[in-house]
Amino acid sequence: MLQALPLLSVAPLIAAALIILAIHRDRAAKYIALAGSVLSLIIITVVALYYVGGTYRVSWFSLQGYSFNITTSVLPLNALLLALVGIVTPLIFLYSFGYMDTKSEQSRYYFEISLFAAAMMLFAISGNFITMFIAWEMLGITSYLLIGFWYAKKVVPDAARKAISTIIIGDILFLAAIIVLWSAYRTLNISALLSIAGSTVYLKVALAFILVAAFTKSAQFPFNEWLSDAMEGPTPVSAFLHSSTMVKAGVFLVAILLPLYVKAGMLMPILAIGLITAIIAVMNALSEHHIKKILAYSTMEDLALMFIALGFNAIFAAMLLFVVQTFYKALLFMSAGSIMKATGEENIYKTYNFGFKTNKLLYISTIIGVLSLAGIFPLGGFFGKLGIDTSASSMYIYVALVAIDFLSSVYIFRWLYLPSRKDSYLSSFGYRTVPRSMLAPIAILAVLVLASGLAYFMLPMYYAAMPKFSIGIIDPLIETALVLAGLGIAYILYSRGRATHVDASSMEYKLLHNSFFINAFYVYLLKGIELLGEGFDALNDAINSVINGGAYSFILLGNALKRIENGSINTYAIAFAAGIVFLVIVFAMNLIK
Amino acid sequence: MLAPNSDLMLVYAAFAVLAMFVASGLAAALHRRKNVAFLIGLPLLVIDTALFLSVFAGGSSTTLLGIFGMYPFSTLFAALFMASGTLIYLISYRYSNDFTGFSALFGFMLVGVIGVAASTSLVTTVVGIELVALSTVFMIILDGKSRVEPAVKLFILGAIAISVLLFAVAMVFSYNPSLLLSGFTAPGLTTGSYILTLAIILFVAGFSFEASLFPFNLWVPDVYQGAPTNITAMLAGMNKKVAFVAIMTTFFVLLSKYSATFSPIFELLAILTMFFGNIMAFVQKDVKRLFAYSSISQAGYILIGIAVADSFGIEASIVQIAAHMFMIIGAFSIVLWLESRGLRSIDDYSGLGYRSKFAGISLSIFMLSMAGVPPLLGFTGKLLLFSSAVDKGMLILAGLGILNSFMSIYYYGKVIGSMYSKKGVGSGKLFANGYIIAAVAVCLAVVVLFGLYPGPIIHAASEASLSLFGM
Repeated sequence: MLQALPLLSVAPLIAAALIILAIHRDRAAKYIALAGSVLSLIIITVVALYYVGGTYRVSWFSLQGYSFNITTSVLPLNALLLALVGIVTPLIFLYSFGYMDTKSEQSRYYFEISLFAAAMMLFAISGNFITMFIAWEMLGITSYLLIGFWYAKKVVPDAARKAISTIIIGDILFLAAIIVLWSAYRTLNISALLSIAGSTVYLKVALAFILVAAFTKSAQFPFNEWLSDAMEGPTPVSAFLHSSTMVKAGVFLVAILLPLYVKAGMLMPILAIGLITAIIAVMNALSEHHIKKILAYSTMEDLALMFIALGFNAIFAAMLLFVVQTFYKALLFMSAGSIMKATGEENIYKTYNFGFKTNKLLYISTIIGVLSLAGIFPLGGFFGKLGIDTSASSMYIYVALVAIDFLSSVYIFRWLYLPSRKDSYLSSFGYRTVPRSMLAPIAILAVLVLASGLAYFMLPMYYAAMPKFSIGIIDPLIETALVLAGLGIAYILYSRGRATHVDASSMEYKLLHNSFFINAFYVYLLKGIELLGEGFDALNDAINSVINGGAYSFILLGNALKRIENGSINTYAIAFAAGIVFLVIVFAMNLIK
Repeated sequence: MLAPNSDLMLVYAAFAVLAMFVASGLAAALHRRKNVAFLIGLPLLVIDTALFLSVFAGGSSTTLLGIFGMYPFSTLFAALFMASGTLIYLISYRYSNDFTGFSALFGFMLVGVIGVAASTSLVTTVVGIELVALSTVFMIILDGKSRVEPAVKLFILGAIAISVLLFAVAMVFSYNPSLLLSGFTAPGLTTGSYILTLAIILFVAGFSFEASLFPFNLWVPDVYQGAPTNITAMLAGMNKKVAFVAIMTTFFVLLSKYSATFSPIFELLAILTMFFGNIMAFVQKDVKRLFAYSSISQAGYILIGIAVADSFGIEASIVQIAAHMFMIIGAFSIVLWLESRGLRSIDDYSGLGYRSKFAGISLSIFMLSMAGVPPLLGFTGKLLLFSSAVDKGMLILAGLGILNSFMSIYYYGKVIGSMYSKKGVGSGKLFANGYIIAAVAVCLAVVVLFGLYPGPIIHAASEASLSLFGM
């Protein structure tokens, strides 16, 4: 029975259930949620240390002689993701203590986010596609609720709807892939599929569907639009979404199925989409003004880099960035949330006085995060980006990747410098009053970011199947030089206050910022679908009015009949007759055949 | 096949209890004793549900009077219909204008329902369907003069449908004078038996009217909206399902040899019905009408299993019928209660989740289940339906079904979103009464528990489906 322990790591699910029972007690909700997440961290620690390689299944239902199970498996990759989620969840919850200080909505918030965390943990340990699909759907729905948490604000419901509409595309395709895999191989167990599936057309179709599904979850081109809009959600949610959960699900799905992608020879599309997304994301990040959206585009870029590494079949490089990105991105989002809370401002051009003197702990931690993202030795980001760069198979891609590194260094230092400008007219009091419950997780994450470089040495010990890349001398030098150049350029452009807004009407803003008008395309597509619905309605009305005209003479028959013979009953009867004629024709055609 | 005595006793007991219900309804109607009718009728219905369930659990088969067959398929549906009948009876007590009249008619209707489920003869099927349809018409009229329009619509169109059905029966008569469902032998269609072809067409048309399949379903939203909501719940939760049972017995027992002929027709109708229901639901503003269109699309899903035309497909259809029965009765119970508080359109529902947590949570669960979100019962049904279609190689049907079920998330999401928007929060809290809460709680329990653990319901459906094919 101890084998069932991994299933228990979804302890936040229990917390969510308790919260909804105690829904009238807003104050208890946060403690229940935190307790649930700490409990799951303890279980996850045990699982990740002692249960690696174990599987466990609970029979769910059987159908036509096949039994469908809820299966958990703790392969090394599962354990890795599970550990990341386990570590980040309590920190996010703790940060929420300070950040979500509105009195009334506490229980709803902690209910939704506990459910979300549980879904991600279930996803991390799922050993077959049924379990995985359930977790995947739960992730989609709870993320929709969380992004739309502040539904009373004007743009929020739209953002949430955009997220869910994009994600649903992935859901459909994921389900379609599952059906294809089932009908081809009669098993949905992931490790079984990894060993038995040959490179057939079924496999290719299923993998293509899964790839698109992963792209929707991980916000890759052309499904990248929802991620930046999703910044309308509360900041702890953004920090959670972008570090260890949700967007990582797509990368993880492709990573765990990577041997199949290699077998089917389908690495090229992963690489291509990754490159396109990385370029779009960096451009957007350079022109964005919203403090959180810059980080969102940065996440998009990091995910794209992971996909690029997967496209090179460099699983170690991908997973290394996967790990280190978790910590620095959670840290940076928490910093952004603290700055927003301190100044009440979301536009980095209107944010001032963020500095060492105003809040030491916050500032130092933020700098650690920024340096890691930019890729300064010996922080985790350095190893992560180096791994991606060195795995490049061709010179052109290497140059593109290095350019992306350089630009990301520019935008992240811009992100740091602009709020650090001094304006003595504005009060810096807000920075001093950031609550401790927000600073504590930031400090813990800063320590984790400092230590995350060790992942480069520890991952291969943990997971022997990942060959380590060698660091060499030239590559690190190039990278460091470019990062420093980015730092310098950003300093000259932004810190000294010479660069003002990018004009929103200028051509370069439009080009950089609109992701090549993907958004506009979706808007028109949706309009089209709505028009179709209205068209049907109009058609119905039109038919009705024609028949109404014909039926007008009946109205004279009397008051009693007047109420009934409003024409529509004729429509229905005529439709009935038309239906019979239609059936006759179809049958006749069948018979002639 | 002769059943063991104890099982036969249970069957007799079940019919006796049904007769007692009819008698008590009639007596109550004569004496206008609303409370007495309810206090006697409700326990009788619960007992009858349990009796039919235990007959089903016994698993035996027997024939009564030559026209009623008690075999797993019929007893499972009898139990399901009794259960949904209990729920409808429960919610009608408080909201029906003339509950005693309703009780009397409801008794007749249940006799018709059980007749269709247990039918082994075309006569039983047609009489049962007519009994159900006529009782429904009068139940609608009972509510008041304003209900005449939907009732007459249902009556006139129902008359057309039944005449079409009778015409089909007459054509079958020329080959099969006994009109029994099993043991029917007729020439193959290719040898020029156009009469039988026409009979199949008319059967499809007549049953499509009853089961609300496109294009025989244009009346459905009008009648659903015009009828009192407890009757609407009954229409969606029982009448339509009765029609599906009639389709199953007629096509898979009487006409089972011609499945290659009718399967493509049902496939086409399934696709049209799903799209019609979902596309029309997109643009609805009234909640009752939205559920009307949504249940049309659900009829399309159920038809997928019938189009698949093998025991797996029927099994899937049975699960989906059971699932939708409880989802739609639960949903309409809440709509019924809210309607009495003056909430009708999606806009009225805004902020509902805060005014009544009960309504918000349960309606959300019902709608998520209808949309097919795991781990709810609606998901199980759809999973089975789509896998049965894939199994049979009908990939287009399965694909379009999946597409439709994702389309539906849009309009269900619209209602859920409205319920949890802050607009209507100012208006006060709403509290449901015990009848509604009890009915919704039962539906919720079925949808959630069997969604989490669908083993028993799948097993039961597979037994029923196999017994249908063994007829």
